[in-house]
This record gives sequence, C-alpha cells and structure tokens, in this order.
Amino acid sequence: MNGSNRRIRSDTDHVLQFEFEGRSVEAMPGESVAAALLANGHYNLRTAEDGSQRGVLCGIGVCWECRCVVDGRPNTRACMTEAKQGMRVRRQQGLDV
Amino acid sequence: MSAAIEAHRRGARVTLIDEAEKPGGQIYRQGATGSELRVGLSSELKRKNELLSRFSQIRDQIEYLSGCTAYALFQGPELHLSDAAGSRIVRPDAVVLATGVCERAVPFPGWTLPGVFYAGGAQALLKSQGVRIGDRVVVAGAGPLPVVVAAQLARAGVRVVAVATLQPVLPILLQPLSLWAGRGVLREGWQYLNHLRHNDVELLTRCVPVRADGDSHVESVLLTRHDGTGRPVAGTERRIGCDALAINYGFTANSELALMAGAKHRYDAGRGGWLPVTDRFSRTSVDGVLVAGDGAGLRGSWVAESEGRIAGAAAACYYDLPVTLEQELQKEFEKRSRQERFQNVVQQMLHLPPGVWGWAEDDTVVCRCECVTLGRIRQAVSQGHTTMNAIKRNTRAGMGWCGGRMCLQNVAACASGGRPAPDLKPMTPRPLARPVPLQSLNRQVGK
Repeated sequence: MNGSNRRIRSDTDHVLQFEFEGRSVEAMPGESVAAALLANGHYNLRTAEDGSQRGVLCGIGVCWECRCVVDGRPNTRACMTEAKQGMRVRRQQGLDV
Repeated sequence: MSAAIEAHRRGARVTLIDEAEKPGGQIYRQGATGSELRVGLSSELKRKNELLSRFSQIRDQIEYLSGCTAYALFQGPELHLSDAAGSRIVRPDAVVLATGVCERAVPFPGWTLPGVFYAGGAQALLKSQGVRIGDRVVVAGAGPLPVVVAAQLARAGVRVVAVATLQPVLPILLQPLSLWAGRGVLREGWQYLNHLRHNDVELLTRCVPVRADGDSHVESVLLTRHDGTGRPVAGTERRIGCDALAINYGFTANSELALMAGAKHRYDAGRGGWLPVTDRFSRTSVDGVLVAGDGAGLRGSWVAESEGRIAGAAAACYYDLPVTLEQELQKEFEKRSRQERFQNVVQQMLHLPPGVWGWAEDDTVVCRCECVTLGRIRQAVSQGHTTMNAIKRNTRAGMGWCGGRMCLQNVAACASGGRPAPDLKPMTPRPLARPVPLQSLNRQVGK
C-alpha cells in the first residue's frame, strides 16, 4: 500500500524511521505513531483478550484501543506517542504481561 | 481557555490544567507539527485564531500546566493532579470543569475491526496529523459531525464513497427557528454540504451501516435503509467496498469529575448522558465547582466560549458575586441562549430511535476494553443485575482502560432496552478518573 499519498503534508525533508513488528516504517517529525502507521497502511495495532483485532478508534487518547508495546512498554497509546527515530513498536497481545 | 481568560481579567489567580500539550482542546486543536493544516473553513479558523491569540496574551501571567491530568475531584474543592513530574493536590477557591465530551457509536457486528474510526477521530488525524484514514472511506452516523467530517475528508483528497445519515439532514435544519438562531453555524454547514456535492459524494439519508467485514481490517460495509425507528428495511442492503469507516452517533459528556465530587445530575441522552445540574452562572450543587461547555451538556463550541466566560467570571468571585455580574454578562447570556435554541434543533438529529439497539448481535462486543458482549450484558440484566453498578460488577463492562466512558451510554441502553430510563444512575465514578502511572502517585510534588 502506498503510504505517502495518505499524507497531506509536503515537508518531507526530515523523514525518520522506526520499527513496527520488525519492519521499518517512515514517519514525519512530530507525527504520532498511530498517524505514521496509518499513513503506511497499518490498521491492525493490537489483539484484544478475546482474540479480536483492534486499531485506532478515537484518535485523541480517550479510548485506549490503539495501545501498543513501544520500546518494551505495554499499554502505550499509539495516538498519543510521538514517533522517534529507532523506536521499536509492536502489536500488544492481550494484556501482554 | 475562555474561562481562564475571563477569570484572569477579573483579577483572580488562575491555574489552567490541560491534558493536552498545547491549548485549544478538541475543536480548536493545534497541529502536532506546528504547521497549520487547513481542512476546516476559514470562519472556523478565524474563531480559533482569535481565541488562541487572546489566550497567548495571558499565558505568561497565569500558571499553565500542559500534559497534566486531573484524576479526582472531591468537595472542598480538592483537585488531584498528575503529570510527568509527579502528582499533587490543589485546593482552589473554585474550579471550572471544561472537560468536554467523547464520541459514541451504536454497536453493530464488525464495529471493533481495525479501520472503523470515530468520525471525530478521523477528523483529528486529518487536522492535527495531516493523515487520511484511508483511500476509500464511508462516513456514517447521526447529527452534523459525519457530514462535516465527510466534507473535510473529501476536501483533503479522500474518495468518500458514501455518507449515510440516520436522520434526514435538511428538514430538521430548515425549521424557521433554527434558521435564524443558528445562522452562523448553518452557513458553515451549508458550505460543507456544498463541498460534498462538488466532490460527487453520495448522501444517503435514513441509511445506516449494520455490518463491517474484513480479514484483518475493514474491507466492506453493509449499508441498509431503516424504517424510521432504526429497524433495517429488508431488501435495501448495499455492500460497499472501502478501507475505512468513520462513524459518530453523538457524544458522552466527561462529567465524572463533577459526579465524583457529588454534584447533582440529570440524564439527557441527546446532550451527553449524565450531566451535572447547573444554574445560570454554571455553578453545580457542590460549593466551588462550576462546569462550562459540552461537559455540562452538548451544545457546541459557540456556546462553550460564552459559557466559559460566564463560568470564569463567576469563579473569579465565587463567594461574593457582585450584584452587577448578571448585567455585566448580559451579552454572553444572550449569545448562549440563542445558540442553545439552535442546538435544541440539532439535538433532534442525535435522537437514537429504539431500533438501533437491534443492530448488535449476542456476540457483538459492547465494552471494547473488557471484551464484554451484548449477550453477556443481557444475561446479567435477565439475572436481576439491572443497575449500572451491578452490571459493571457482574460483567466487567465499564471497568477497562477508558474508565467506562466509551461504553457508558451503550450499557445504559442495554440495561433499559433502549428506552429512556430517567431514574437509572450512572456507575459510581471513583478515582482515578483517568489512568495514572503508579510512580506518579508515589512522587508527590508541590504544595
């Protein structure tokens, strides 16, 4: 899926890279992890305790549906976390304890 | 912001506690990048810039705590705060709660699939992040927000394949009373409808999504017409391929802090569920606790600004209101009631007829955090767990990360079979109103 045309920003001079499920993802400076993942076509961010898949819902940090494991920390909201160079993000599996 | 500006103007020492990193809240949201992403109308942008510029003039003269969460409120008032530095307790003379609302949606099979967004969420991702939620998007729901979001997405280059609204949009808005009272809002609404027409977006009224399907994320949506009471009309189903669905069926007021402090409340589904009861000056039944804006009942950003000014003024001299205050605020009272008259009409669009609660099946998740299904809640209700607290204790619905905000009104609808139940009490709000790291509670800072 071509992610770049999901962005309306055109200031692409400072692209940074982070890892999602072991694969490299491009992000713009200041972009949230959720926005960068959506821009790259990644909708599925978590497997809930009942085995169903979940993604971004409210986009403003209220619903907690997009909680991922970021640099080893579970329950981190992708929509409230700024993407940083070299960050490691993976899907949370249930409680992930 | 509006309350802080007014209270400061009247000589009060003001602390503004903002959960976000930048002022503006949800409606006047500022881009994460600092670069302004223009998807709204110029008139909305003008209102936003005016308020932000007035706020920037006082920002250095008040205490502005950004990235700070108010997680409990008790009588006193005694407010409990947490941020990256730690936690603290403050005891102001008065506190104005401007906590706003969060979105709600009616559950249907497939609504938990990745790629199903709240419409306001899709808007936030577009406005503050500059990211489109998909290439082919269906937008659906009740009230004005789905239409606005569809227009903004289309304007940003998204192929909006359909907009489905629960109620017809025009007949309600064209009532004479609303035409006059809400002329400012309507002008903006008309411009959004025009955007849709120019982008050849199909507007389907009295039409709803009753299923979303897909493997790991939504790939198609089943739209159907309903009979006016929310029940699907057989033979009108249409499957539409898409990679995202944006839905909104109204809002839930973030009233838990006022309720935690013991404020008297009432239930009004169309305005956000359980709402603190307030007087003209936005004072609740608890001393020193005021509520302004949508958190006191959904009425939109125009009311919020006026009501913020009223509450800010009353908070600044809470224990000694000057007799002239009524007269000083006359203009704001008038603005507020004019907008409220219009919002009463908009409310009719947010009325959810009882048939909508038939879209979910027994295995459809209602409480997303705790994966509690409609069948599980029905079972609890049939066993006599008919109060909100009993349903919560019995099923775990409302016990998850979101603090029960997301499913609150839907669980209430399950408990009452979709009929209004004015006597139903909400789940007892307890600290913590928001998740707070234990290490923050452990590190008490400040006064």
